[in-house]
Amino acid sequence: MIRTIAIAALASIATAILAINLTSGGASDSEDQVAAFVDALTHGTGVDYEPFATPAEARQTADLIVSGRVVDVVDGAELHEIDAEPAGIITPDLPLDGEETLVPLEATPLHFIGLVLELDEVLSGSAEASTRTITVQVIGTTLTTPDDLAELGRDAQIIVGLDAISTSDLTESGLRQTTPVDNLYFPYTDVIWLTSDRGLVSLHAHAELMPEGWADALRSPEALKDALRAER
Amino acid sequence: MTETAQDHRNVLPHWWIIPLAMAITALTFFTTPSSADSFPDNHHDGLADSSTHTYCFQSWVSDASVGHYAMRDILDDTTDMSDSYSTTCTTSTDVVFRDVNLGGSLRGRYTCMTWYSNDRCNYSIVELDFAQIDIGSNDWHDRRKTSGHEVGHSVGTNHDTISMMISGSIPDTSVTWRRFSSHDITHVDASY
Repeated sequence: MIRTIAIAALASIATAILAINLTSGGASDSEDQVAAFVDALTHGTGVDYEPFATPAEARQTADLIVSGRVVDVVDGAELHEIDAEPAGIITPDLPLDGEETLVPLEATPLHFIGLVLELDEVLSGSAEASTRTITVQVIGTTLTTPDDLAELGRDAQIIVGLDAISTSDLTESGLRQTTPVDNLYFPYTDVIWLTSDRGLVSLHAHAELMPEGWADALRSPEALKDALRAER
Repeated sequence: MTETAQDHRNVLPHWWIIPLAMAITALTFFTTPSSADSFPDNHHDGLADSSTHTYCFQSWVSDASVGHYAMRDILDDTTDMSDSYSTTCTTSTDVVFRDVNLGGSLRGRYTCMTWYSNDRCNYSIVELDFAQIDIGSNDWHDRRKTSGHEVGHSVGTNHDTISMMISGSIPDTSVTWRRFSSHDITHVDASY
């Protein structure tokens, strides 16, 4: 009886180890680093976005779709509301006399983290032939510095669809830019994917929740690039 | 010496127990949803700093009713958390609502601005892009869905396809899309 229980236990342990390995995808160091980068970058953020039904729809809408690698992470754009009135935000940092200080609303602009990408391929849309490096503005954490994010994210392979925002676009939206970023590229939430050994990981989108039209494309980075690549 | 059937049973007693044990273990692993017991499961390991969720509006919010709906009708009325509205925003206010153009296909976003600890947010901003949300029909319902969605992120919930945590426009005007899932309510109630 004891031998039977021991054999059953050993079989269970062996199966559990196999299952853990399968469900983790046999995580490697590089995969862990990409996952750690995504976790650090998105810590304390969340979004609601309008998903594209298919990669073709994304291709038709995005101004530019590229593949490349992350070469740096920097402080990104800051956008202010042009007609913003002071909101009366009160800081908790009390001065010596104990009175709270009113800080104008403009002290809290829309803030982004810049992912500096070196491009491998322009999959769709137009980009100047000389444009081999672009900066993508993503919603980022306030907890980790860009330098620390760069340590984690450098060399990560990325595929991203972009909305190119011009100064006139900003003005029409009642925004003004307060940081010197020449070209503003904002990613579509469901068209920004990083490559790990396990497959594709996104910042805020989830492969398992994507519309059915993405199923084939999200099988591999190459399949995704094929699906997003414009017909030549 | 002659081997007997009894001897074989002693060497490999109840051999069938091996595949049975493996099958049970494998079933346990592969049929349990990976997210069933994880919370916060909002992809960013963030929770609110207490069960009372304070909120306010910055001056230009054009439709404050959606914020009141998310905090009162959804968070306060359907979970153990409570809401507390203030006309003044401070940097200890849990959720500061504002109405902006977010670009791309973003309808709303939640950002923790300061942290009480690594996993407890002290002060956050919820930004809603009404122009983007209003594309299509059912604007009244859609605005409340996205407002509730972002408040959901602020208390630890993540995307799904069965509640207001679905991404994008609502499939229909059912109240389902303006409420947490029962799974999320269980976790929220247990966490605050």
